[in-house]
Amino acid sequence: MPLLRNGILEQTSHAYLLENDMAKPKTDSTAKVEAVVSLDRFLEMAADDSAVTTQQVWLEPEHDVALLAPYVKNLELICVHFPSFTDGRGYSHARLLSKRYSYTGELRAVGDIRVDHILFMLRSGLNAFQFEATPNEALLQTLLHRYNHNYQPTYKLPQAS
Amino acid sequence: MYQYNEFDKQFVQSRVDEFSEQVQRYNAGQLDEDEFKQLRLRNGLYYQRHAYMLRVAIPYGLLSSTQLRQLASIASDYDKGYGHFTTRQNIQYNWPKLDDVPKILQQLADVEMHAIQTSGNCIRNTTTDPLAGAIGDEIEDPRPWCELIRQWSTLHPEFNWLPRKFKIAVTGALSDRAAVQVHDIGLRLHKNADNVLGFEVLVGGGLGRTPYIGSVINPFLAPEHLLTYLAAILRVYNQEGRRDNLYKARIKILVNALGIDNFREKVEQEWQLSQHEDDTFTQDYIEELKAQFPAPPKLSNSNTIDSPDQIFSNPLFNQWYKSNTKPHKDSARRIVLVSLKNNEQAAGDATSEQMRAIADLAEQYSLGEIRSTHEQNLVLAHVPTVHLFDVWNALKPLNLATPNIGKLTDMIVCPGLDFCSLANAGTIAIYDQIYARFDSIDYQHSLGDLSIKISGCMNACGHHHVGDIGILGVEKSGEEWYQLTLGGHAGNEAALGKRLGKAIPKAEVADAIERILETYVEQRNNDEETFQQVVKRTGVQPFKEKVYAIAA
Ligand code: SF4
Repeated sequence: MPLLRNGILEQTSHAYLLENDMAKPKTDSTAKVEAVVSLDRFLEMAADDSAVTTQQVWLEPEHDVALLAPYVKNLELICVHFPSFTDGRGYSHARLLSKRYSYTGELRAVGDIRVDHILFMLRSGLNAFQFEATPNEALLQTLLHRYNHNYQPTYKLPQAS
Repeated sequence: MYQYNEFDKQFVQSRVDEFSEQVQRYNAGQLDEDEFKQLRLRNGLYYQRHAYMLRVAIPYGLLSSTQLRQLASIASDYDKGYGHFTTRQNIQYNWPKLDDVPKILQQLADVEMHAIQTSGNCIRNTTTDPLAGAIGDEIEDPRPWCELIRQWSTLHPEFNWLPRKFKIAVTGALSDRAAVQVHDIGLRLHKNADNVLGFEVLVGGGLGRTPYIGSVINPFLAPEHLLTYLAAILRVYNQEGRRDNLYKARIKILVNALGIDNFREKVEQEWQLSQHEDDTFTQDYIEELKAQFPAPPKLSNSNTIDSPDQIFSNPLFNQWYKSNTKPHKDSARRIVLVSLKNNEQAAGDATSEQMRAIADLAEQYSLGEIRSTHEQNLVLAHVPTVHLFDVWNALKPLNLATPNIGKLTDMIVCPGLDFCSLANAGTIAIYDQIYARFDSIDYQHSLGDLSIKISGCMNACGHHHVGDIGILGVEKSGEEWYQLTLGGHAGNEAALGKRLGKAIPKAEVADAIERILETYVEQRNNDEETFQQVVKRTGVQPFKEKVYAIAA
């Protein structure tokens, strides 16, 4: 699975949502997969201290990210699911997690992720992008570095590479 | 007016490059239809009934002569020689070819213009009072604030994929000419008892299928918080607005579902934190913007008409003067409204020739600037009184001096069946029918100010809910019918029109209007009593009796 992380395109493990704690990878079985639990499952486990076995959470658009605030220090991966690229809720999730709750781990956009939108995603705080098909690398760089000015300075542009 | 700095120029250029490459990728099959659609919408490009339609942003309705000339050239080079001014103070072209659009965007960028966010579910062009900076009842010039909002909202990463489109309007005058009560967010600059400036913030107004008058979410917001407060509203909306039903996705539905008090509480809660995190601006910056909108130089009083008697003895000029000019805050100037409603063109249309002529007049007599209005006319805001006669003489042969501003034939009309794929009805034909019936200027003047607003479907782009007489096209068994509403208003006394009764067949619309006007004249207590006041006092019943008695 192609993953753009910290500006580098890698072929790497594929994050998928673990349903009912049952391993059910959506991808072909030879690929390495990362199991991520839903917000509800994570909060359940967190409520029962001894049960926290993962630091990887999956957020749907309708989730309230504020619920994750107490745990962000230890979290390693938050997948923000975009069921469709036109659903903009994930942008606000990312903004809140990165800015308000100072989450610094991996904030990965998953779902209907298309190259023309990753600049806005990145500026909102997402730092990894899981694609279905491998995007053209030159195109990615062009898209990420097209603008050298923006009108929203707290949504930072990526550093020139 | 605002001049782009180097950053603005680079920014818009980058956007042109981006879209040009997207068109290339689309043509090469590297961008699918769905995605390209969304990308082109963010650049004002629709696909309509016959062809692509490009909507160009006129930020808060303000244009320079240079810009208007460029719009004229685009109309003649890439379209059929005309453009259409919209109720959002923008201009649209109905016939551009896809492969020409990057070139058009380049020509726009060359004169500091763009088509960014004129469509799509994002923050649209901010609109304002077309008489800003010229009219006497102004408390504060709204345009620097509009420019501030324009910059902040342009390609805002977080708010580019909202549940639905989002429109902001700003007024800084006592009399609201920006319809702030029927916008997603309405901002009214005013001063409190201590003479301190602030914004009254309204939210959840809007027309469309389910019209609402906006509610006050904050009666007095200190100006320095404007952007963070807007962001807090947008964030609550982005996260909680409905996305499951296109017709329930506007912020008005959310505000109404939660109730304004709950909605306010959510926004306030968000804002407590977000005001320290989100983008804002410095006092210096807003002062810099204000400096770009200087007051027009004061003319000396000797600059008045040499021989007023001679001029005003010309009855045609006099008529035009009365309806198409308004007092300027400088008594040696007048505000001239250029009527885009005549008996030959569709409402709001202007040919390249007309645009060029208006650009020249603006340069010669009005400090080189032109405004577009949400009533789909143009404005020369600063004409010295001594030159009014010259301006009138220049406008007349171009069919731009119909003395009907604010009058019956100054109708707001959406593009309807001729251009819009959502339409039920041919609004332009209805406009023509009404225009032909009530062409007499004397009759129109005898009625006083009166607004007719026509929409071709429930989406209400023609603002029919807020017309004295609203006309909505509906489809019944394959035929066009028209639903009438009475007593709507978009200004200070904003009100939604009340339904008159069952829909009227296409051929009888002008007849029905005639009965309505007769009833108004019969019912009004004196010439001063407006149509809205009469409807408020009598209700629709007397109108109904007359219209349906005849129709039956
Ligand atoms: S009101 Fe309806 S017909 Fe008219 S322009 Fe809007 S969508 Fe089209």
